Amino acid sequence: MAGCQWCIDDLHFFALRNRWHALGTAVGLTIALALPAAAFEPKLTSGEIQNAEQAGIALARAHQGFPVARYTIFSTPNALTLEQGQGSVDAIAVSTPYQRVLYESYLAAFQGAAPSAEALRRAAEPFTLDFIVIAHSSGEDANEQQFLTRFSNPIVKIQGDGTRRAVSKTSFGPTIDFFNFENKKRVLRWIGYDTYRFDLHSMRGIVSIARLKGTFTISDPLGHRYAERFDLSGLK
Amino acid sequence: MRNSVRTNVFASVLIFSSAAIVCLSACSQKQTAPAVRASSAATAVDTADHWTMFNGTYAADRWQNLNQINTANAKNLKEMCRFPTSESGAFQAGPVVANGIVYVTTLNNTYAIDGTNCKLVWKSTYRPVKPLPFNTNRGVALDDGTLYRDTQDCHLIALAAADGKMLWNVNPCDSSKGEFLSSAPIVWNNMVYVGIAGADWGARGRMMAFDTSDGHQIWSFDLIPIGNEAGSSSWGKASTAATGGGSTWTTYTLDPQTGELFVPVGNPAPDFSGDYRPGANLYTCSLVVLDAKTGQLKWYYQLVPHDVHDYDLGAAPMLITTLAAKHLVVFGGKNGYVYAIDRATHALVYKTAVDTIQNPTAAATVKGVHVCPGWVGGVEWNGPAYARDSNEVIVGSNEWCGNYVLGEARYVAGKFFLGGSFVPDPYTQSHGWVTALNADTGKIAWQDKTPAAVLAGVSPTSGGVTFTGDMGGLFYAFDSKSGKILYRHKTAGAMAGGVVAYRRNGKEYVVADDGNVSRSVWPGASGASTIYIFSL
Repeated sequence: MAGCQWCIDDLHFFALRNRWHALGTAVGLTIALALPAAAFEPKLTSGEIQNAEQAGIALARAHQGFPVARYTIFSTPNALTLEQGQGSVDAIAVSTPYQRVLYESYLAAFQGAAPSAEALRRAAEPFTLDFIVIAHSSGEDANEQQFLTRFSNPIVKIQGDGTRRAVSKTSFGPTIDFFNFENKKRVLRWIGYDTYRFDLHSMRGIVSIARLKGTFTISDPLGHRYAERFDLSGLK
Repeated sequence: MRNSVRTNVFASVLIFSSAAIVCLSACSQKQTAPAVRASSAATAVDTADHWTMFNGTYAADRWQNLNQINTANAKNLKEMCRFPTSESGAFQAGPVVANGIVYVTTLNNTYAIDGTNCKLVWKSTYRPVKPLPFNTNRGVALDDGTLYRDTQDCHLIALAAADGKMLWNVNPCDSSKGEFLSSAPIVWNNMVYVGIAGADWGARGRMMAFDTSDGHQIWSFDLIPIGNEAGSSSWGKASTAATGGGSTWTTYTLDPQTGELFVPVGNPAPDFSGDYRPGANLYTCSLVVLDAKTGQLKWYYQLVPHDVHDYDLGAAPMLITTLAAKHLVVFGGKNGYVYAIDRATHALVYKTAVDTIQNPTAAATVKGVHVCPGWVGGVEWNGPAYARDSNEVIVGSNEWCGNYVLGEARYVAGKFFLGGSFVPDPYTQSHGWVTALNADTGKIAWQDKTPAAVLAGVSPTSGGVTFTGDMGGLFYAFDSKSGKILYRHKTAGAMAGGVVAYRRNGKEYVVADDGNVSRSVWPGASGASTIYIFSL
């Protein structure tokens, strides 16, 4: 995983978590929580789905956020500040079927409910991998409210395999938040996230899928190109 | 970039030089101009020459007995001059006017401008010493040659109206906790009244009175009751009251006869996560009425018990006597309603929607629930005005709906404490309203849909004209009786600060803030902060 500098700063954790929870996304950063034993499962058994559901309920009860530090492949050093010329992406996280079921359960349990069958089915969809791109607009004008539509060319390159394009995209937001611009003034930015889903079905025969490695690339609306490596061998 | 910095420095030098020169005329003017007392403005019906506080008078009805600009000639209005502050921050202040001088504030600066030609008289800069949680200031109060304003780093300061020199400076709250001061104070009976803002950061609001002579605190009232304070049982989890919000951030209203101080109180914190703080959450989203001399609670009216939409009572109420001789306190909330309460019985007389209302009690969900008005909807920091001649309550509002999304609430001092988020509908779907209600019945007399939110001050006059502006930068003169637009002028920025009519040397003027009114939530509200003055 890429360096996660905010993982050593409690306050920054909370601030980020507040923001990302405000987005309703799976990006709480509590490292104290025990994560499941790591082994990427492209296709969950019914028992594993049940386990993920129970773990999600426990997370909601704990009120300690939703842990994604280990799933984060890119993050800015300080997601509350902006610098001149900085790109739009605040963080990128990979999301496996297990992680997705965990999150759906956490979300539902947060309101004392169980996840819908449809939500679970989509979360557990086998042989798919999601990348969540959390970003802010480059300005505060009205047309910047559409900034999430201007990301382009999301691609996954899998080591020892080939290149894949996203098969679907869902967006959350945007909502509104402050940033400190070069520590001189507070500026408004739209913030939100896109989730890109990639199909891994053609990899079914590859034994090493549990230790899948690769690179996720995407361009932001300003033309900044992000190419971030990921390694699923340590993740469930 | 370097060039623009150099240009700004050069411009600053010019401004300071001219300020020093012009100050000579201002200082000499003080010798001849009578000292203006806020109290005199409060009791006089005619405030035509002096507008000494955010809403003009203690009663805050914003009426001006001026008819030089009237329904017959308003179409001939023109921009007479403008004063650019060269600042790009939020500009929501209510101008104050006395002896032809317009006093207006930005985040850290206070300006005195000649109200007949836009020339700078003086500029006073406050240098913050602590963090600034937000970016807004709403203006000064003027009394007996002294201006009173507050700051984002929790200071209340007194400035000499003649030259802007600081007379005293006190620090009644802590901005590192998210507390700040942004409201325009009012002054009465040698006391300055101001309250704490910062509910969205989990600050716990309180209202305070200070001595005008040196700024020492006279009393304080907790707007979120704890312990044995009356109303504390409305917090189902007592521990959540400590970060329960209840800020007050615009200005205040006062009745000198009864000694009642009317305090508008904003949302509970966290904004959207109601389960975190069960109960009615007094005195959030309420009109709180205090004894102005002692700070004791007299009565209150809660608009929205257990609010989950950030439906502040933002704007200060107005005290009116209607054509049918009803004595009412009238106010508009971010929930999109205008309320009228009987002054004697405290009973609701009417409640009229001036915005689209949808799912008004729906709590946020993790998937989002669509609600109107939205987070920045309804009536914001400028409240209703009263057109005495037509017996109408006239109010501007914002229609911008969206989805409330629940999130986990976690308090971190100095950070947003929302417990979720608001995802607004596309900005292009938002718009504004100007609505006139019969002051006795609350029935809508007319309503104009404007292309952008109407958050600016609303100022009716005896000329039958009501002045205001919108976020698209349009300055308006409406016919108060029919709602017909008599004059419209496109300015360079957005309008959502004060709009004040006044008279100087027998001539009627209208001053209005223009520019980036709020970097906090409104996209496209751009433009350098600029004062516009209109006249015939």
